[in-house]
Amino acid sequence: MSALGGAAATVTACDTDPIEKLIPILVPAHDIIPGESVHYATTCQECSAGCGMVIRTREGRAIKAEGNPAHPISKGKICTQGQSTLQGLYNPSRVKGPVYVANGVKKAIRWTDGITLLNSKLTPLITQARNRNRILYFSPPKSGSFPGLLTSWMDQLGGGSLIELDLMSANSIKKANDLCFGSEELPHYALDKAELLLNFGADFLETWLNPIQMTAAYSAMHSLKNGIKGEFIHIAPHMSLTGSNADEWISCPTGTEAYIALAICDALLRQSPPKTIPKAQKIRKFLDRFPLEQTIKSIGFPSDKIEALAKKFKRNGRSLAIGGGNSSAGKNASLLQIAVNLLNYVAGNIGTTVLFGMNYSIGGDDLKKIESAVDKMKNGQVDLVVIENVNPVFTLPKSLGFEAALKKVPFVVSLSTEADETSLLADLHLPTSHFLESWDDAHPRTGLYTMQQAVMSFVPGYDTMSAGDLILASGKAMKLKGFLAPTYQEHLKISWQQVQKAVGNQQPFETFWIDSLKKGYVSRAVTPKSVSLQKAVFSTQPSPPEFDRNVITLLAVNSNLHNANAKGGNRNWLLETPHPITQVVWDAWLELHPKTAQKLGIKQGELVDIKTEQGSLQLGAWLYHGIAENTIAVPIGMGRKVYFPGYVTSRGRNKLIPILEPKGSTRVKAKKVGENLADILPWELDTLSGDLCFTTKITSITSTGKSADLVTMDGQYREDIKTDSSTLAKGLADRSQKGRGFIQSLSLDSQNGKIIDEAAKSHQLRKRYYTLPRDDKHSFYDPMKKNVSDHVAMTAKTTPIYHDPYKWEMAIDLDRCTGCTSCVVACYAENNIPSVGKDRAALGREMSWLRISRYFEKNEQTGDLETYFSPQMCQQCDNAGCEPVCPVYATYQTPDGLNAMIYNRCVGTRYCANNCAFSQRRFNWRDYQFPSPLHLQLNPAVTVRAKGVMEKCTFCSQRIREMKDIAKDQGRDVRDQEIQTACQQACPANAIVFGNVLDKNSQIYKLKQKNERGYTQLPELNYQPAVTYLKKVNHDNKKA
Amino acid sequence: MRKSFSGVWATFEYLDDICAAIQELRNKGYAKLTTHTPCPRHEIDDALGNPQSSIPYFTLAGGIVGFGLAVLVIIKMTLNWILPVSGKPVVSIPIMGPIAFELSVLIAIFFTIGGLFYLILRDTWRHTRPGSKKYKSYNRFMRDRFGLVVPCDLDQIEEVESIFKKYLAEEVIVEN
Amino acid sequence: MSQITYGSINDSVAESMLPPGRRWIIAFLFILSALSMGVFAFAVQLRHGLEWSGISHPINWGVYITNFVFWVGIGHAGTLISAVLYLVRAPFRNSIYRASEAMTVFAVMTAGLFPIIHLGRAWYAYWLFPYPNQRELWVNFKSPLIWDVFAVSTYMSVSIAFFILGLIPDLAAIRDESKGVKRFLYAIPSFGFKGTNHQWLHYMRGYLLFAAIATPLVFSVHSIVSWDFAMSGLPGWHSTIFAPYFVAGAIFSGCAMVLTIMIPLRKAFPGFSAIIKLKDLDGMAKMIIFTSLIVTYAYTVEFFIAYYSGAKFERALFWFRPFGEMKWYFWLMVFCNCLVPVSLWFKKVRSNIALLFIVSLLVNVGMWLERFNIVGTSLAHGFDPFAWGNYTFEWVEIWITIGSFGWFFMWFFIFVKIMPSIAIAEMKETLEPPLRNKNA
Repeated sequence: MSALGGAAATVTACDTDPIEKLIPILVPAHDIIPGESVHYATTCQECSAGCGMVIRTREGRAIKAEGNPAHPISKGKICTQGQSTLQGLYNPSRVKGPVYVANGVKKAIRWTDGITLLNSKLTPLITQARNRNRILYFSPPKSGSFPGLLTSWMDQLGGGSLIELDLMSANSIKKANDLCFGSEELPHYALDKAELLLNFGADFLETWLNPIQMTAAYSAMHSLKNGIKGEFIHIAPHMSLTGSNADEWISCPTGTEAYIALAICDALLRQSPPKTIPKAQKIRKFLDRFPLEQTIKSIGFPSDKIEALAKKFKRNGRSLAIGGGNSSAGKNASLLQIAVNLLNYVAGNIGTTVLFGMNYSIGGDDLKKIESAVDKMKNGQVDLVVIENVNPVFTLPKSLGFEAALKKVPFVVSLSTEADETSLLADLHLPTSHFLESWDDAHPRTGLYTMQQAVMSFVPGYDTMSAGDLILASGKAMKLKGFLAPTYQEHLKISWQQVQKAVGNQQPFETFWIDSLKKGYVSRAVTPKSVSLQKAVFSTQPSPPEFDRNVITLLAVNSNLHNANAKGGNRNWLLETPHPITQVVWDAWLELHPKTAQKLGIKQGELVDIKTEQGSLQLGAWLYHGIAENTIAVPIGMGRKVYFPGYVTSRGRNKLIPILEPKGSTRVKAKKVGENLADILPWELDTLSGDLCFTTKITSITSTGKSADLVTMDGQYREDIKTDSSTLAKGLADRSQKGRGFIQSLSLDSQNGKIIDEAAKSHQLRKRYYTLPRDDKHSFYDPMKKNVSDHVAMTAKTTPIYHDPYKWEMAIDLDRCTGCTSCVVACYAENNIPSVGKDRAALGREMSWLRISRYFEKNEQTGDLETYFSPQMCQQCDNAGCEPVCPVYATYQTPDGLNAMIYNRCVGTRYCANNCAFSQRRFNWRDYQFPSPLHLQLNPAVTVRAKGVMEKCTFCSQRIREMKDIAKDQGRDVRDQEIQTACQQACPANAIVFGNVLDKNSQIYKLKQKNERGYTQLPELNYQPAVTYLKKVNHDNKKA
Repeated sequence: MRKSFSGVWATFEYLDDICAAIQELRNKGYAKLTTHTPCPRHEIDDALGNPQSSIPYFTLAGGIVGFGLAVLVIIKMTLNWILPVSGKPVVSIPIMGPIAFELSVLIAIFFTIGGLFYLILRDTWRHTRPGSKKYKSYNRFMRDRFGLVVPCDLDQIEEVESIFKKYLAEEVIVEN
Repeated sequence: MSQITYGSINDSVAESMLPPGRRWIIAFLFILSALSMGVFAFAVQLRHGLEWSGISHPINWGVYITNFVFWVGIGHAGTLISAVLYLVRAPFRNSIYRASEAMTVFAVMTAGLFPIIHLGRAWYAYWLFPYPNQRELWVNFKSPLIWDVFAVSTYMSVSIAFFILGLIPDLAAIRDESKGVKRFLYAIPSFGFKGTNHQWLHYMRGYLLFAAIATPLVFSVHSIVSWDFAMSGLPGWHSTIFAPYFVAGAIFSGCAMVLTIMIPLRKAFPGFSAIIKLKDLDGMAKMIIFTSLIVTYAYTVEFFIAYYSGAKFERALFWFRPFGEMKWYFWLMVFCNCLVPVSLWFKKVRSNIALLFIVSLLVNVGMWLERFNIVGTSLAHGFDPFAWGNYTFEWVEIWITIGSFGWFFMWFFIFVKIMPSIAIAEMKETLEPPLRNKNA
């Protein structure tokens, strides 16, 4: 795809035409042609990982966010959060322009007035003596040129402190690396190089560091290739999506991960001959200071397991231990990192799977800085607080008292794009542009500089200004030194001259600039630096394990859909998309172990009241085997106000009384979704690094006896609610696929690397389903082809000949799929799928064309439950059930083998949906709204469906159409991989392959020919699906 | 009526009387009789010599037309746009069954109704009936009276009249 | 009980057609209000989409299709009684066939509404017909729904024609019974029928042919309705027993409905109790026993086949029906359709009007539930366990269902007042004709 230059964006800048214009640009740029999409390369600012993005724009509007294929870190993928950034760009909660709050009265003002107002507060500061630090600037972590500009701005204003706020900051890792290896940085964890991955609680497939990078590396390491497949062991109190992908999940009480790691390290030392490891004795001595033996005993962790793990881990540099994440973020966070480092060191992984010198810039400042900032605000040592696109009032634990402190500050300026909980307290709100509308850059790691360009003009009707331009303007107005650049873009150019030097580029600057705009980044080769174990580490004081088997611990957990920074908490894609494990939508919940639930007398789906010292919350109970006993997990980052149409609901009403939707009753309202866990979290920091503790003790937990009305997309959930906790306690209610073979698996004998068909062993997955020999389908196609062409000839019609030259098919590798739901969000974004909200979802009216079926299968050898994921979309059957039953030909088989859906012709008998064995068709039970300005995100290439019409996945036929047209213009056939479906494009694990199966050189063809793991679902129905699944491969017939 | 009616008509209270009267009249060679009965009686049919109706031919014709129509329509319409659905042949024979059957039934019914009207009108045309007000407004034929109309020449009137009297007709009216 | 004569039949029928009394008016107003509920609900549905019907993914068909099959089923008894029993000359037919034929016509008229009501875009219902259009877009004849369109519309026109044909002599009789404007009005639909031998000759033969054709039509129509389900691949639908099973069910519910209507009718018009004799009702009751047995057999066989086939989907479904979360519909159905009719084996029950009425009502309920079981549970428990669902009734579909009864009874109430609800001519046929010397 062509990532065209920023010239267009410069032309389109500062433009607020009304949205009625077809192309909202004063002078249409040369490269904007109606009906053709233009792609711009930029950098994702949703988190600080700095993934490369390509934004697809149509008629000057961003409509789809995708990964930049060339980007060294993200390699063409972005996470659910990154994709939902479009809903940040077009979020109804955005502020239309500058707002000044004069004694409680909001007043819209002009930008010039806004800046003068801001400066009027600043100018007094200039005259005063230096370094009085009367300014606080809160911003999300930024690694580019902006912080420099900002600091010079603040320094000339008598100094101030910039606080980069990120609750998931990974400073414990930096701290530990500083102590252990004297290099305070985030190293590069080469998951793909490892054979064994030992993970202490890090949710690296969800939010830890850069989940996209991790997922890609993980699937490279963990997927089967020529008989070899990496192993992944997850040691944590909470299984989470990450743990559910592991080959083994070892549950441990919260806060004891560090000790287990140290114990393993200890065992490793004992197992290996002393001489081989430098400083072995010192480490020995260090370890002896920890009460390892009794701790391991007291938490009931099998000691032989420790030995076994140690034995496994010894692979001379081919293993990797990582740790972190919310579930282990307690007072011992840094200790865990130290333990992990020692483990890696002893196993000789430093320099092979752990590479230093990369210095990733992920995460924000040491949160102790916040603490002191709050103190300063309380004590009135602050004149001005500027808050840009962070939401501390909402995200920081209430016990810190940030809000109260903020109220003490004489003047608060918010530069946030959205009217979030914090900016409501500001005296002056100068809304900055979304990062897709503004210029900036980033420096994600050593030797990598990425460009963030404005991909479109300002969202029509939203009068904003980029943070850079704002600071520049203010500085210029105050005649500060070095504030000369006319725009921030110019300022960037200046700083990028340094970048050009840094990467050693010899071209003239303009070409370099345009090239890097097109590419989206520039980089230079980095050689990892070698490190040695420092003695500083041995001086760390052993803190006791915070473990008490009598109290229940609360874990504040992240997932792909929500995290502690709560940035996506008000985007309906992320709320509508079911959480991978629980499948809950539009709500927060409370995971607890059935045994614990039984002890506490809590039933599945009941509303539970939990209390900590800080407060209490009411959440729905979700009984789940994937969590340690005496532990409960609650998603953090929920509870934001979401703008959503107020569809009337019949929930809990008398079904005989009419429910009407009078005019205006469906107007968009801001509604709170879920509960904000930060309300009841204590302000506790890791002693060494100052990372926030996401674990705390529960003072009381009681069931209210009421139903919580949790809405899950799992069709068997209602059954669970009825089963009592005791049944759940032993093996849970049956949420398996009932042996219907949607997900099939093989077993890899790790001894001699042989693949064994499950048939040999007794396993739930293998029961009672039929497998037919996979023929090439010619037996089926050819008669059909002949019949059609005969009739075409007979009637002298010009219908194209069947399956020539294209027959689109798809393959999904279940061994790679991690269930991250990135594809689901991509599908929502690409195909204009409306969000229906909680009540509709409860009726089963969610419109998702692509769902990830999640099954808990019982392994009859171990007796454990195993989690399996399978992406399910329309299978584009060649012998489809839906086609013949449609009375009006609204669905039929296209010449290139798609299962077409003709919305205009559909009368809505819904027979097709009934006859679809995969239940993939979705019906429009009403007209759904896209609250303005979210409607600007709609993809013009896809019809927005009206009420009473059936819809479903068609392999992104609009993308197929686009590429076919281009190919036709160039007088050739479509090349393999030219067309990527939205789900395929988004899949960070590269589990989805799509292409023309008639092309002998296509990936899909080769894969279907060569790969012996392929199977189609429900073969006994002879629907001849076009989607081939590749069997999951387990180690020794076991997984988590 | 084709030509002005001349003849005798009578009403009977009892079925056996009118049957006997019909018998004798037919023996005397009076052909074009018209009877009135509240409901169909086989005694009357017997007396009249069990004439047969030719309706079934209409029905059969209708059935055949309907079947052919269905098959034609289906083939024509499927070939108009060639839209393959799930690997089924474009023109598929088995699926014609239901529609072919239904259509043949429908058309057969229409033909039957048409035939019914045609035949009744034809016979009524052939058999003249009195034009008098009294005859037209006589309203017990559909209730409980039997009627018999005998068109005849003036010289035969007495004879017919006497036969009616003989079989105790309720009332005998002569029209000419 | 006075001796029935040709005259007395005319009188009692004419009496039933006297201008309505207060009871009739009140009842009729009640019916109209029910109907208007349905109309209002449907209007809301057209405006907002199927939002307020309980139908949803994966149960994409629900109450509407259930109602459709239910009403079509009722629509079958009429033609069955008038045609099949006519061919086999069943003695208990004549007195009740006119009313049951009317019931057929109105039931089919009601049933015909539901496929339209259940459409997502009802305003395009005409697309289901192969009407000539300039783009030459035709329908998909491979779809069972199209077969349905043809079957139901054919059945409706045939049963209406059959109904009117049967009416002609009786309307003529009524015409002769009445004077003035009324006489003139009845003269029009009686096509100058005078009961001449020519008229009777062709009329009777034509009627016989009608009966002969209508009989296979009855069976074909409900078979085709059953194929709406049987032609799909869904466990619980994909079954070869469906056609006979549905036909039996249709007759079953139809006979029940006949009783449900006849018994009040008999009560309403004193004259009728002499004509609609107990033994006629008794005959209907026996039909119910017979069909109930067939239906029960079908239920059992379904379970056996599910077990015997070994197909896991079938087995799972037939476990789900009696024991799953929708089990109450199933057990209620078994009670109404299999157990209640057993009571009819006893002569006492058959000859007790009140009990007979209650039984017939229960059977109606049971047959509605049977259809809901077939539609609902099968869809709820499809192939992919992850996509299983449950059904909740919402107000629009409830109101529309109530409205459909209003619609049906509105027509029936009008019918009894303007048309002879007893077949006069045929009743006369069954009587001893007036003979001078009986012994002869």
